[in-house]
Amino acid sequence: MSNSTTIFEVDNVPDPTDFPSTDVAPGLRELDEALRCSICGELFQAPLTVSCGHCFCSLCIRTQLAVKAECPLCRQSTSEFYLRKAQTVEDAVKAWNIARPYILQLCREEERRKAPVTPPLVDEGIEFRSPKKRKRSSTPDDEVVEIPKPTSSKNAQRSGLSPTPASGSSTPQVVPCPVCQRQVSYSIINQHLDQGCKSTSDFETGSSSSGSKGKQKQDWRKLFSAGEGSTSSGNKGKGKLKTKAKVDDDASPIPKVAYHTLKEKRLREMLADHDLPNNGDKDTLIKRHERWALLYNANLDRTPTDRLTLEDLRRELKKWETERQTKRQAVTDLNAYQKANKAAFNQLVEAARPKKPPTKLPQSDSPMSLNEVEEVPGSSSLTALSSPAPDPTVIVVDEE
Amino acid sequence: MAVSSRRLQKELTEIKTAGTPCGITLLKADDFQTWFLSLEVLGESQYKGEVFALMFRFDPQYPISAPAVQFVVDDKYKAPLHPHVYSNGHICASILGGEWSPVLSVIAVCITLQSMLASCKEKKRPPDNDRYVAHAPDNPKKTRFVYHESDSAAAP
Ligand SMILES: [Zn+2]
Ligand SMILES: [Zn+2]
Ligand SMILES: [Zn+2]
Repeated sequence: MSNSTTIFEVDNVPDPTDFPSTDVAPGLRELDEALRCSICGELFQAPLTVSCGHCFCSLCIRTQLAVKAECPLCRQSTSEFYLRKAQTVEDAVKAWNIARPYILQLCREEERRKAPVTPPLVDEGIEFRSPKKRKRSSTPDDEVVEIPKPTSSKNAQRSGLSPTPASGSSTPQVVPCPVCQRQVSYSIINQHLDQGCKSTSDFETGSSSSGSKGKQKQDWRKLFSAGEGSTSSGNKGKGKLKTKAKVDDDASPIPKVAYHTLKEKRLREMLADHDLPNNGDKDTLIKRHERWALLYNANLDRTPTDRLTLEDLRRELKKWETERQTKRQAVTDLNAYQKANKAAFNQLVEAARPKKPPTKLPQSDSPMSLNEVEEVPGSSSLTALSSPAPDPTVIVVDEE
Repeated sequence: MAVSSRRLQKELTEIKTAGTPCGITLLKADDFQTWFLSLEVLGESQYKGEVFALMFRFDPQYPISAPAVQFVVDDKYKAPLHPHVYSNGHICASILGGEWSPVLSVIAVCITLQSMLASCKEKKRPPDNDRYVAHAPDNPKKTRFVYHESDSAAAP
């Protein structure tokens, strides 16, 4: 995360703007939007409805309701008690996950057909940065070639666009799984989804997790090597993971815990009961168990066949802990950077610093300490971005 | 990629494709920790001709946890003179505290603050400005503001 270019190149985050705007492809963006959770912005994962009828991912709304007992959209008061499984929405999302890459493919073909003269400026390898590419339809190039939209779209349908998405040259080889976010080969994405995001392929890149492997907590490493070692001598044990039991149909949710009443020893036992690491201070233990309960209970809101294994959930939990640590690290780096540029920041730091030593600060006693975002003074040289995209491979039309 | 980063990436894509509302400009979003946007009130208002900058800081729990938002105060930008804005840039706005909702976004916050400025009748600092600024934490999220209809006050 050292520079912006890396961030914006590495991650393809699908969103409704992947589709052409409504004048070009009526309803597609809106459909994609409607199937997304307004908290995380992803396509619903184990969608639940709140009493008001609004829908969110199980994990998102459970996490939020633990903070505030109201619907985040309409603020009607509610609680976990009123959460209901939105089976129909889940089915719709499942189908949309499969249809989405295909429809994006059709949109690309359509766009290419409309403007055959304009060579694609985007490298095919990063093709599904299509949200930006689509903007070319509003560039002068396209305005010259005026084609009546309704006619051309009908033509496209009649011209018998290839029913198999694999035939297009721009078919993405690897797409991020809309459910588990892993990189999955396009050709097996359906299979992968059908199997509830189990590791079905060699195409799943371990890049995100392998990068952080070195920083793994000792106890996490022990945990995984122990679990996998017991069934396989290989250190990866991928094949064995598949045979790990999924969470049963009749598994029951982890009940609420009044953490403040518990002794640290009891917390460690509870974590051990779930085969979770039990190192760290009490706050860490509570956070870990809390998050585990959320992940575990949200997983139960998935259709049984789509549920992740406990092993997967532990991986998720580990990822969550690592992210919290990395974030802290990243800000430390920023601080270091600012120290290196002290001259430029001196003035700002002075301005931002309290005039007296902060002895009796109005402190929030929130357990989610925000130490990691402290001491970041603003940059003194703010200039409007003339070109908002630092990444030259992304085509963005600057709308003034 | 963390949920917070993915969510911010989506907001960024939205900003870059749909643009920002009038008077709001993205100044800097080089990472998923700190963003800067500029803000001005268009049309007739107490702040005609003034341009402000907002700093957003995100933690890994965003959007469940609200961003830390404040006006930039440096040699180029000043905090607007407003009954809910302290001279150090800290803002007393319920939407940044107890009324935050995870369905809100950076742009939604900007719009709210823009209309907060637009509806201002009298340019003045919060009554407890000097006391607050003298003891204010660096991160405004560490302050528990008490929200009033008109005037604001930071509760110690
Ligand atoms: Zn969600
Ligand atoms: Zn609602
Ligand atoms: Zn998956």
